Amino acid sequence: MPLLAAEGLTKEFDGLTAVKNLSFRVEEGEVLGVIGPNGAGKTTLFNLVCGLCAPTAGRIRFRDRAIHGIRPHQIAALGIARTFQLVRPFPNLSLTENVLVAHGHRFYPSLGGSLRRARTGQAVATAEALLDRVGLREHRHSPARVLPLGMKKRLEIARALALDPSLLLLDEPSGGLPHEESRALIALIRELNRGGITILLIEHNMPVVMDVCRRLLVLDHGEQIAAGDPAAIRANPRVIEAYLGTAAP
Amino acid sequence: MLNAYTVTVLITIGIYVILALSLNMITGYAGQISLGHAAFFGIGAYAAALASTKLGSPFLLNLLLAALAAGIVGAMLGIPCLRVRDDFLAITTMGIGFVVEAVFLYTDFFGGAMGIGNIAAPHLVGVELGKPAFLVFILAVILGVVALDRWLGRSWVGLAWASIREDETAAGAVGVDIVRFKVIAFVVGSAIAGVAGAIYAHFLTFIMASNFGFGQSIVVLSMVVLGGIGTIRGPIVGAIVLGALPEISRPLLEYRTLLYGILLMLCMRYQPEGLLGEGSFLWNAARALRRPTPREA
Repeated sequence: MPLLAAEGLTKEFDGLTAVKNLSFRVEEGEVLGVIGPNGAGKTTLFNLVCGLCAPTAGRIRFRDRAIHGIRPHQIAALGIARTFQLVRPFPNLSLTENVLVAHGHRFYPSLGGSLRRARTGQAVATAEALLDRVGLREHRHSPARVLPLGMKKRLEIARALALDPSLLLLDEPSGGLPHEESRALIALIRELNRGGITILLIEHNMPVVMDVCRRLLVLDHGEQIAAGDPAAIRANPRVIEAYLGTAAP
Repeated sequence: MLNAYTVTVLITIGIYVILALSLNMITGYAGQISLGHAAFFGIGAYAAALASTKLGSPFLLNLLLAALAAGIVGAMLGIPCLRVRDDFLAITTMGIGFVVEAVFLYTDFFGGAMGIGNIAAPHLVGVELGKPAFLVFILAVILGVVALDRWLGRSWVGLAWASIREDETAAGAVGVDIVRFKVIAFVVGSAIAGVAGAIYAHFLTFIMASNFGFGQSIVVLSMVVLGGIGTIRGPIVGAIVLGALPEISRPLLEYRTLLYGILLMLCMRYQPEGLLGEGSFLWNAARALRRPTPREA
């Protein structure tokens, strides 16, 4: 059974079809790359999987559960975590608190649990261990707003990990980062995957994509135009056409 | 020691402190702007007034009824607020305030334009509370609210509120049930405002709709913002400063709204975090005094 399976997924916004009849599977343990030109529908696809918007048609299954149409916090609690293309840490909360918010997902469903003290030694230690894993422990008391972009991206990953995810959706993790930082981030993603987390990755940086992903899904205008291993994708004429356009007749 | 006039002013300020703390939970902690908070103050006041005049129920029970009524209406009126954000939320809550005030003003059940009079003076265990005793009672209520405030602030509820205030979308993505925690904020904040309303009704023994209008909502919001939104000390100090100013000098009373307006403008321009907010001039100075040497810090 695939970890995640989408069937006939379609999303329309006021007449604009952002995602059109898309079907794909994410197998347990893989790193699946999603590529495509700007406006191809990659981020909309993420938003559909995370419950940020409901599909116009189609279904999404996570393990043996239908997750289309349920709310984002429910999807997060099932173990699907994400980062955002334009980073969204909680700016005025400390790094530890940022991670704690996600750690609290196990307490939020019950009123009794919600009323318990949040900053217990154990919860803080767990949050700090996650910050340590992404190399941000020394900044744990700073408010997230003062971090440079690369660190904000790492913070989002630490926050996502606090959900104990089995599927991690990364929306352009290396976007806007200098080469060195982006390489370090890719190393982190590999390490997480080796640790057993399945990863769905949107990425514009082609060398990175070709390097990290065993399998790719190519979107253009909301439709899947190709799928397969990186070598096959690179040689696929439809992919080349989508990125470069057709030669003038 | 304190003359009757001073005690009356202190009681009024005490009621404002409770109100400001309750609004702070909704607007300061959960980040949901409300321009209609006086509506819940009014619902509590009317609930207590009706219970007292029609059922003859005792003061303490009326406090409870007021909290219940305001909390329940807070949950119901919170629902239209769940789907709107920021400036739309401001307008929605303002609308709620106008509707509630109009219901009080135009419904005979609520006394219409005449309001409700002959509300029993506050009694505890059969003994009428004099003004000084009533002031002590209010201080006890304030301590209770502060204790609840601290407890919630340190709990997962407080953290979930903070995440919603900071970024609702990101909060949902990391497992925070936005709807649930917004409703909790509206219910708790409204219920406490209801308690303040019941205290107000029993203190004045006469209430009318205009006590709970838009102006009153703005006064309470000004107290929260001026003192330092999102802290416990801020709304308390804001309520004391803005509550005491018009009493200190009579001429100020006539220019009360003008004065509030100027203070708010100055505050937003020079101290947007409020007089005692995190990082404000006064709060930094107070901290420096408390920790005279860096070694201690």
